[in-house]
Amino acid sequence: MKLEVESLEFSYYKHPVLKSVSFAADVGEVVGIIGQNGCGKTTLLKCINSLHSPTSGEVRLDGVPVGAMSKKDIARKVAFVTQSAGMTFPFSVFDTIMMGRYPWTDFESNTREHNADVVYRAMRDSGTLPFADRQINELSGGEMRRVMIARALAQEPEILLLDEPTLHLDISHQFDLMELINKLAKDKGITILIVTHDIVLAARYCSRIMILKDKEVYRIGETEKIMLADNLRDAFFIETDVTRDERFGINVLIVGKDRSSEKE
Amino acid sequence: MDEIKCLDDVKEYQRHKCRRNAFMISGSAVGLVAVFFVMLTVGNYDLSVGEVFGILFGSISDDTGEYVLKDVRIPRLLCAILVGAALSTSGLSMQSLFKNPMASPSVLGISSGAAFGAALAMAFGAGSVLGSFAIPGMAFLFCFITMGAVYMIARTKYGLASVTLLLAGIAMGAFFSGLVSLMQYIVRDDVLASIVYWTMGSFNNCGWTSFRLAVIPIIAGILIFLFSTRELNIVSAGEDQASNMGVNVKRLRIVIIVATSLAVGGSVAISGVIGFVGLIVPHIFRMIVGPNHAVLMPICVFGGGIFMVVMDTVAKSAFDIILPVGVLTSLIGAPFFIYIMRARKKELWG
Repeated sequence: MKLEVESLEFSYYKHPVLKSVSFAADVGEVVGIIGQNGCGKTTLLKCINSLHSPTSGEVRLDGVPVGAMSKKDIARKVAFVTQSAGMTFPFSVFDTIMMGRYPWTDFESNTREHNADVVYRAMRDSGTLPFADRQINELSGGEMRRVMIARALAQEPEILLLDEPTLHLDISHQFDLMELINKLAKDKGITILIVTHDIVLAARYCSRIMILKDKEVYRIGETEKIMLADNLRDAFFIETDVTRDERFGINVLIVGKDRSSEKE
Repeated sequence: MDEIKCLDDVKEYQRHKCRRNAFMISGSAVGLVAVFFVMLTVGNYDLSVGEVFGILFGSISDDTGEYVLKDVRIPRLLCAILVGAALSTSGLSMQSLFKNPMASPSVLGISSGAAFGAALAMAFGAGSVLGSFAIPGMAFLFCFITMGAVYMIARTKYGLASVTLLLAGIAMGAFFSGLVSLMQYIVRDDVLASIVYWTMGSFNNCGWTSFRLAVIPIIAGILIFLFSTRELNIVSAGEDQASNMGVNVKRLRIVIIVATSLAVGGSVAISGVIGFVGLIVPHIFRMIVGPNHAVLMPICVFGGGIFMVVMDTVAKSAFDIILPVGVLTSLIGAPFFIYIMRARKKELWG
C-alpha cells in the first residue's frame, strides 16, 4: 500500500509540532524515522494513523485521504505499535493478541478458524507462543513489546507503524524483531515506518531514512545516502564513522560525541 | 493448558476457553435462580422451598403465603436482581471505558446526581404532572448530566486523565450531595422522609410498580453493555489503543454513557442510592474469571443479582430492625473491598 503525506502540519495547543512534512512510502519499504527528542516523530505516526487530525495537509493511503475513512477501515490497513502498552486489566496474552482481529469483525473472513490461523501466525512470528496463556501484567517489558507487535500483526495491516519497537528488548530480540520487520516488508509487501533512537539498527535494517529536525523533514532518502557523518552531526551533534561491512552486506555506524560541535 | 506450539493448539485453546466461559456463565445463571428460590423462603412468614414451589405451581393452597410470595417477595427480589445487575454492569463498563479500576456509579458521583434528580421530582411534585415516570425520568436525566459533566471536566483535547476523572467525580458527587442536603433542609417533613429513604438505598417499598418502572431502562442498559463487550475489552487498554484497532471511541463513549444513565437511573429511581456494588462486584468476578468482558459482563449480570438479593435478604432478616440495604452494602462492602485489595493486589494489578 502506498502512503503519501503531503504538507502535513500539526500543533498542540497552538504550539507547532510538525511543519510542512511531505513524503511518500511505497509497498514493502522500511522507512526509519530518526531525530532528536521532541522533533515530532511520534506525532507524525499519530497523524498518519488519524489519531491526531492535522492542522493542515493530508495523509493518503493508496490515494484515499485517511480523514475520509472510518476507524475500522484505517485499522484494517494501518496498525500502530505505540511506546507504552497501556493495559490496565490483566488480560491473557492470547486475548490481547486476539483484540487485533477487531477491525475485521464485520467481514465474512471473521470466522473462528481464520482468526485462530491469523493469531497463530502473529504469535509464531513475534515469538509470543511460549507465553500465550500468561497474564500480560506478569510479562517483562520486552515480552510485552512482542505481544503488542503480535497484536498489530493480527490486524493484517498493509502499513505498520512502530514507535520505538526495540525499546526494552535485549540485543538478540532486537535483531530478531528487525529481521521480522524486514521479512514482513519483503514477503508480504507491508510498508513499515519505524520511529527509533537506535540509529545503528536503523542504518542496518531500514531501506530509507527520514531525519526530522526542527519539526521538519531535514533529510529523506536511501539509507546509504542519508546515514552520512555530516547529516548525523547536524541532526544529533554526534560524530560518526560509517563503514560498509561486506560480510553482512550492511552499513556499520561507529558513534561518538564531539561536545565542541554541540549548539548552545 | 500446556504450552501452545502449533495451530491445532491454538484452536484447542480457543475451544477450551469457550467451554470454560460457557460453563461459568451458565453456572452463575443457575446460581442466581437457586439463590432466588432460597431467598423466597426468608422473611417473617415462614415458608420452605417445597412450600414456595407448591404455592407457585398451585399444589398448595395458602392465601397468605400466595400474597407474601407473589405480591411482596417476588417483586422485591426481582427489583434487587435488576438493581444488582444494573449497578454491577455499569461499574464494570465505567472501569473499562475510563481505564480506571476505581470507577463506579457512586465513586464518580453519578448515583448522587441521580438521587438529586429523584429528590427534585419528589420535592416539586413532578409526579403529579409526569406520572410515575417523573422520578426515574429525572434520575436518568441527572445521571446523564453528571456523567457527561464528569467526563467533560476530566477530558482534555489530547486524552483523559484518570486522576482528574476521579477528582471530578468526587467533586460532582459532593456537589449533588450538597444539593440533596439543601433540599432536605427546605422541604416538608413528608417529602424529607422520602428523600432520606432514597439516599440510604432500600428495597422496602419495591413492588410490581417499581419493577415495571425500572425493568425497561435497566434491561436496555444491560443489553447495550452486553453488545459492547468487544469494544470494552479494547478500550480498557486506553482510548488511543482502541482507536488504533478501529474502535470508534467517541461513539462508544456516548453509547456507554447513555446505557449507564439508563441502568443507574432506573436503579436509583426504585431503590435509591446503593453504594459500592458497582465497585465491588466487578472486582470480585474479575479476580475469578479474568477481565475478558465477553464472560465477565454476563457474569456481572447474574453475580450482581445474586450479590444484591443476598445483601437485601440479610438487611431485612438478620437484625432486629430492617436495615436499608445501602447501609449494609457500604458497611460490608468497604472493608471487604479493602481486604481484597490488600490480599490479592498482585493478581489484580501486578
